[in-house]
Amino acid sequence: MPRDRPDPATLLEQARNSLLRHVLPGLEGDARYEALMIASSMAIAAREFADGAGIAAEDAAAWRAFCGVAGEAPLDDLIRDLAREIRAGRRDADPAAHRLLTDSTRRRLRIANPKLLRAEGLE
Amino acid sequence: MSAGAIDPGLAAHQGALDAFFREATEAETAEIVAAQPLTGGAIQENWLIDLVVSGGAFNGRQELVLRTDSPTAVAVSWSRPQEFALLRAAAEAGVTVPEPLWLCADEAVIGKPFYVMRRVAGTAAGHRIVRDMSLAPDRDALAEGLGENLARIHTITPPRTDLDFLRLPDGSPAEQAIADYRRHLDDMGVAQPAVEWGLRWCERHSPPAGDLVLVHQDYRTGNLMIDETGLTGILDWEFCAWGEPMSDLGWFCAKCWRFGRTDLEAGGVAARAPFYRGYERVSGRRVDPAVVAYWEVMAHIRWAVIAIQQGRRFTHGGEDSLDLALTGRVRPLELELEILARTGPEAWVA
Repeated sequence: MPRDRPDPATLLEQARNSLLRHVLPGLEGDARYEALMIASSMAIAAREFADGAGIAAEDAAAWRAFCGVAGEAPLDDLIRDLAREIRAGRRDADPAAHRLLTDSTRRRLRIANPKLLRAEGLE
Repeated sequence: MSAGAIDPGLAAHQGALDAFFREATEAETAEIVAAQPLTGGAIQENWLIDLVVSGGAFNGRQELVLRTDSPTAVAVSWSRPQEFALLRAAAEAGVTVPEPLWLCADEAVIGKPFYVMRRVAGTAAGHRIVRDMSLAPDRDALAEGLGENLARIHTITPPRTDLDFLRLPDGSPAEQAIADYRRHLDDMGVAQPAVEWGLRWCERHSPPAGDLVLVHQDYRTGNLMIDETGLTGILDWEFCAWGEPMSDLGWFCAKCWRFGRTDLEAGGVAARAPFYRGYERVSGRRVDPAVVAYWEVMAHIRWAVIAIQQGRRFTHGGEDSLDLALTGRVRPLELELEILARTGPEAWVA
């Protein structure tokens, strides 16, 4: 827990609310579009601050369980190996690989775009 | 556009441009009276220009668009002279496009090649078009007309000396696309197993190759100018290739290009039926929904690869753009979810 408050996620959320409430209504055209992108970016960063470490740990554990490797194996290598196997046709229609990839994408969308998961009935 | 407003970005070239326009219009005089940049293009730079011409066939006030390369041009698209040739070919084929007027390959005029087209009314903003029903209120008619226009683009076939810069696919267009996207991923050095999954599915399930025609490759809501009367012009010809006609139908119908109106499967503006109907009537080609569905998977893959590239222009290329940063962070994941949903284990033929 950081010593100085508010913590970064809270500060970002409040900054975003302030942007949407007090700044956005006065903007139009390109400036409005830019402000909406700023608000989206702040929301992603706030979610990453709040939940990013937990989601990343969950994701890494799922990859290691799928690959049957111990905790030290670098995640990047596992991802690269699976990408190679898929391209080489060694994972065609493999339900476990499809499940892993779908779950991993959903996890990362909980940070990047949770609204999409809700719209698709996945959250 | 307010009269007399000439943006400083173009003011330095005004004398040379006036001379260019005088010669192009074969007039006694031609003078730019207003010039403003049009924002929105990530690759090209567009200027709205009002020209007052006296004498000749263009006598009077002309509302034009000047299109040239942006300072951050990337090498993935055709040059302005090539794009002009494509626009001309489309206009000759009866496609609704902004009328192409003049090409200037002489870099002495503004420092880079440009071309000029007639300005068309309306907006191309996808988010607005799917919601604002004052634009093209008869949406079935709009979709049918879009199908007809796409069919007219597909009447342009190789060989064409004016379009000899277009590449013929190595193998079928699907095989070429798969090879291209794999190479792009390899060039970036990124492992994208979900995209690879989709590519492998495409490799295993590609339909027999159809006719080889001019494909637009970015025919979608967002690149179509629309006003109260309907379609006024199809834009962005910079990604054209010789390819498979159904790939353009798949791109247009892909869920990622519906701007939130996922229920309206033809580009967020209508159901598929009127779009297919217009296409079939003018092309004489039957639309096989399964083949379009295949190309929709490919569309999500293609957009995912492009989105990854755009993100890297921020993370690795140092471009100062929040749009690129967000695209790279969010779009690939959204697209991967759709690719995986469409290519689950049950969708593989043994």
